Formats: sequence, structure tokens, C-alpha cells
Amino acid sequence: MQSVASAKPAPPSLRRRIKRYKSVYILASLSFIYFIIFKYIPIWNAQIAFRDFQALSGVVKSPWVGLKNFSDFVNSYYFWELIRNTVFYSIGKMVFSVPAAVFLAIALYECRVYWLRKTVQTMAYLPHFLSWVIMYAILLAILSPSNGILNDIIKAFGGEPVSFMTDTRYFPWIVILSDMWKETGWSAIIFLAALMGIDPTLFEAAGVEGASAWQRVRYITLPAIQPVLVMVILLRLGTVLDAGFNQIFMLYSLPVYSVADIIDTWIYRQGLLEFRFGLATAVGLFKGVFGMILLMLSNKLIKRYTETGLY
Amino acid sequence: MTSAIKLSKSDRVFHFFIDASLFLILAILIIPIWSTLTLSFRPNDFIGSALDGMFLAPWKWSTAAYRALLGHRSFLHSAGNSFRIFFEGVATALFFTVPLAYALSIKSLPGRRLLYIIVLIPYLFNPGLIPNYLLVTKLGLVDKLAAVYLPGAVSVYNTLIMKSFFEELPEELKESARIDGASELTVLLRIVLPLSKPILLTIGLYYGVHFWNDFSTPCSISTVQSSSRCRSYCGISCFPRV
Repeated sequence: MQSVASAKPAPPSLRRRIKRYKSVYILASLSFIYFIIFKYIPIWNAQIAFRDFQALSGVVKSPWVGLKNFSDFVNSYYFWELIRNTVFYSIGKMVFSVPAAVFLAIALYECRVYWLRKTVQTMAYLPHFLSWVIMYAILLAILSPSNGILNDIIKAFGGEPVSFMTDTRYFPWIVILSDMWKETGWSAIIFLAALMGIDPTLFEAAGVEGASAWQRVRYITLPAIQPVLVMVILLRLGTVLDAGFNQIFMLYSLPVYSVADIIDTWIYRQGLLEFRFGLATAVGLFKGVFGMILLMLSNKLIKRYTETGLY
Repeated sequence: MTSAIKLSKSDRVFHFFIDASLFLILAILIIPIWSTLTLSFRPNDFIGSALDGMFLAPWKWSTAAYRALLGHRSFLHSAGNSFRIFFEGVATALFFTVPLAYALSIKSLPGRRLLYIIVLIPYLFNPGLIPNYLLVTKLGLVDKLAAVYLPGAVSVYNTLIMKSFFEELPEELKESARIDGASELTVLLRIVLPLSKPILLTIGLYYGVHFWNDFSTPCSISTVQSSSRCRSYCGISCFPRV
């Protein structure tokens, strides 16, 4: 017995292991350099949040101003407006899209008509691959006051055409519902995958016991989705400060800024259009720090709940 | 025996409900796409509402809009830029992602933990738009297509997905190649990569969709230094609002 144990090779020394993986190090070093330049220099540049940034002086020579940029932001009238809009859109999209995705997944799973299932599945994935530029064109074809379908119907009933895209009452709904139209099919995939993993004997047993289809959904399908559902919700809460820059950036316009502006679009305008780099970076840093806290928190909860975290 | 096969009344209601909802969902998905599609084929001399346009017979469709588009120099320029961003972007992204994911997947690699932390920090903490913009100007990339795809080329999320795929590959395969005298480079090129075609395609697709649909990056880079070259690939996204 002892001889077998001693025959086990000793783990190779550190130097030998490093030598063995030489080519891996050389390959990965390119990616490492990429990370240092494109991910870490921006973090270093973020110090201009604490400076009065002047383009001529550059990052390190601009004078320090302490927390002035942050206090300017927190004390401004738009502070709560931005936070409110950002959280509203994230939570609003979640409240509409996640239940829709669960419903779609269950409907696709239960549907017995093959062609219907396949057609809906394909058509539901398709919009995910469209950019928000194309989505804007599609929305105009429906909502435009001059030649949109919806306004045609309103006019046919003798109503006045409504300018939906520039009306603060309708704009939030357009954002939430267009996101739902675009992403529900794609987000249903993860739930569909969870359903595919259900043990079929559960359904056989339910059939023998005389359970109705509704009861099957209630007691087998929904519980099977539950862990994935919790994970998806926690993940979404972890990125609650990302309310969809590309979408809002494309859809919004001056008349709806008060209900449309989210942190990211505001940073874009202040920084790149009005050159207030210090202020815009301070807001970005504010978002980055809170985003990090939320992401770590959600990952911790996911780990506790499903035993496999994101990282 | 027959009662076991025949659906009960409540089950028939259930399946009717499911099928009807799927039909409704299908209609909601198709109508906007169909209305946009017919809009693009509408003849210039078309008279009538948008609803009439949706039901216009296909033999009355006109390709005038498409012909006008293809004759537009700035559109062709923008399309060319889009294709270049797509192909160069995906190639660059995979070039940096694959070795990184592979290195992270080797459990016995000295320094793996440190590499993992270095990769993870930028994923957790994003300093935002302006610090990135300053970097792009500092590197002199403004007005170059590389400015569009290079700063955001590597997604940590995609790297971690690829890493867990590499970790799932059977260790015995690599070990047997090593016993036959293969170097680590050979193991990667001859064993790991041929087995990883599905994940390379999937991640390549993710990157491709990202680069093809990205319009805010070209827009944000070209607003400040609005050279004609830069504006042209921004062309599609910055078309005038109706």
C-alpha cells in the first residue's frame, strides 16, 4: 500500500510549472497589456472627477478641487430626477419583461402545434438582433403623427393625431413597451432552458394522479422556473443603474428630457456636448461605485441562493 | 382506456388559451415589422393612409427607396464602415478573449488568481464614458475606426463564459497530448480550439451583434472632432428626426 502512495508523482515545482506554461503566458500577456491600456488607464483617468479638468493641462496637471464636482451634482435640481428616471426605467422594464418572458417560455413549452411554436420562437428572437436605430424606424412607422398606423386608426375614428414620441405622458410607456417587444423573446431562452431540464417522469406521475394541465403548470412548471427567476431578478437588480443608454439616446428628444433623461444620457450630454468633463466624470464615478456595490451584493445573494455565482 | 388519451374539458381550455396567446404574440411581433417593410416598398406616388400601405398588393410595390439608397455615396461609405467595424471588431475581440479565457481555465497555472482579479475589477467597476474618451484622444485614435471597436473590444462577461466552456473540456484529452510530447501551444491549437467551435461561434455572434448594432460609440467619438470621415459612419444613426 505504501509503495503505491509514494509512487504518486510529486506536484511539479513552481519554476517547472511556469516554464511549462511559457506559451500560455506569452499569449495571455497580449490580453493583459490590452486590459492595462483599455480598462485600467480609464480608471486612472477617473481622477479628474476630483479635479477642475482643463484639456490643455491634461489629467494630472489640472488643479484639485476636492469633492466640488460631486457636491455640484448632488445639490443640483436634476439629481433626483436622474436617479428617479434611471431606477424607474430599470424596474419598469423588469416588471413588464420578466413575467412576459416567463409566460412566453411556458406557452412555447406547452404548445402542441409544432409550426406555431417554431414560428413564434423564431419571430420572438429576431428583434433582439435589431439595433435601436432600426427600432426607432419601426416605432415611427407605428407612432408617427403624420403617417403612423396608430394615428391612422385614431384619425379614422375622428380623433386628433397624437405626437406620442414627444409627449411626456406617453414616452415612458414607449420606452418600457418597446424594450419588452424587443427583448422578451431573448430573455425567454433562459427560462425555456430551465423547462427543458424538467424530469418528464414528473409529468407522467401528475397524469396518473389526474392532475389538470393548469395544475401541472402550477405545481411542476413554475417551481422548476423559480431558481432561474430569482437569479434573473437579482441580476437585473444588480445592474439597476444601467437603464438602457442606447435606447433612450435614440428615442428621446428635447421635449421629453424631464422624463427620459437617465444618468448615462446626462453624462453623454454634459461631457461630450458641453465639455464639462470633471462634472460628467464625477457622475460616472458615482454611478460606477454604486453599480459595483449593487453588483457585488446581487452576486453574493445569487451565490447564497443557487450556489453558483457569476464570478 | 380512451378517457386517458382524450383531453379533459379543462385541458382543452388550457390548450386553447396557450395557442390563442401564441397567435396574439405572433401578431404583435409581426405587425410592426410588416408595416416597416411595406413602408420601405411604398411607391413615391402612393396616396392613402399607412394602414392602406400595409395591405398594398406586392405587385404594386416599388424598389425606388432601395435604388435611391444604393445610389447614395454617404450610405455606401457608412455601410462599408459598418462592415469594417464588424469584421475587425470581432477578429480583435476574439484575438484578445481566447488566450485570456484559456489562461484563466488552467487550474494549475501560477498567477491565475492574480490574472482573474485583474480581469474582474474592470467588470465590477466601470469608470464611465469620459475617462474612456480621454484615453481615446490620448492614443490619437479619434477619427479612426479602431476607436470604435478597440476600447470596448473585450467583454469580461464573454471571457468568463468562454473560460467556463474551456474548463468543461475533459482534462484527459489535454493530458494525453502532453504525454505524447505536445507543448502547451500545441494543446491549445490542436486540441482545445478544434473542440471549441461552438463557443467560438457563440461568443463571435455576441460580439458581432454588439459591433453591428453599436451606434452610440461612433456617435460619441465623432461629436467632438466632427471630421467628415467620422460623421459618415455615424450617418445612419444621426439621420434627421421626423
